Amino acid sequence: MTDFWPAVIKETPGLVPPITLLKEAGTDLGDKTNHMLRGQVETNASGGDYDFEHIFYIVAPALDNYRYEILRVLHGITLYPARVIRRPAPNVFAPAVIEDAPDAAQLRKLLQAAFNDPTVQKAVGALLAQSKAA
Amino acid sequence: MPSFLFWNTNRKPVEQAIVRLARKHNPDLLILAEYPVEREELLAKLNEGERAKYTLPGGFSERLSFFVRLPPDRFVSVTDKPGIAIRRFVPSVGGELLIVAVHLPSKFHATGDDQKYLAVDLQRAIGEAEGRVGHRRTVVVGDFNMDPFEPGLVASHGLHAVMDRRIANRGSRTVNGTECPFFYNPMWSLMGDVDGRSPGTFYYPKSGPVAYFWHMFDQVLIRPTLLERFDQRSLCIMSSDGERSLAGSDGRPDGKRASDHFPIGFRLRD
Repeated sequence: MTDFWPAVIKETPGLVPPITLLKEAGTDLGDKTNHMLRGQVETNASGGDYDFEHIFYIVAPALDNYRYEILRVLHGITLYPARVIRRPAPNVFAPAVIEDAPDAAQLRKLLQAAFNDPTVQKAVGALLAQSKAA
Repeated sequence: MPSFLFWNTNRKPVEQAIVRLARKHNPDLLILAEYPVEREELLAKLNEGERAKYTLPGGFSERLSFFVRLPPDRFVSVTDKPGIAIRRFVPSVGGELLIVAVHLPSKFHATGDDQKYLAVDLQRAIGEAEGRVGHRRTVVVGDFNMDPFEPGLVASHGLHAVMDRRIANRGSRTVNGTECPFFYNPMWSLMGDVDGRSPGTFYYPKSGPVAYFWHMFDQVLIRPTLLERFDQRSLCIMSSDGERSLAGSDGRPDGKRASDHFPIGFRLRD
């Protein structure tokens, strides 16, 4: 039988997929809120200009698992560059903020900035208060 | 008999018109898109001198505002996404409903292809929410910024909303191996100017060869499980708030005095 593929197939060394960073952020949120809130990542094969789309939600288990979308990360088959799309402004008519990360290190920074945005913090604070009251 | 009113106010401070609409139509659920004023301010005006009070439910939708004439625990947030707000609505009588309010990007900010993908995204969000609440008694209402005949509304992997309730009553159809549930889109029945009514909810003249002039961007979609309860005759496009016209002398939405969209309203039987 012909060996069409190499005998050993290896994953690309040192490559941190965007979904890993998003799940890490979700776990961090859970740890820091005593698991009153958690992150959830929904992945779609996007079918658009990017092969994959990850949607990051904050989930409030005490509020019947209410979900609030924070941002999206899109990327192709090679994982990077990855595109972050978010709507952070309190102005409801503000356009989405679109930023590109050439690698995992830069994506990590973009995600940190996004999750520390005052409007996201406001939503997190309100969800936490409501969860405690529930 | 829960009643619903949706209006894209186009960032206009139209409190008095909203209050008059609420007094005239008594909606149990009032949904506003692009409402620019503090919600608490409008709430106070809505409740002034009224026995049945509206409340402001929780949730974090930026584009969509809800005013509910029910205790807050009967209107529960399920999901918020940009332009999409999903809620469980438990009327005093009748079964629980899933309400999906939408305000999708306009054709000024999104291409036709963008809108198709956004419709797929919306369909996924609805499916996920229906799975979580365990039923498909779903009403989708809002400004889709697409007409009922556009692919995002019609396609099986989009909203799959059809004009014929007999087809919708089949429940679903399988396309490329995927079961795609139907919505019924009653707005088809309001297209055109029969009996002198408004031919659509939004007017936009284009100079190119193909111009529809009137658009039915504001719509309600009903899952087949609710069709028996949907009161087709209650469905209306409102070109007046009860006292004052929301249209100019040409019959088009008066975007200067009110909004560039007309409100829509409908009822479900108990």
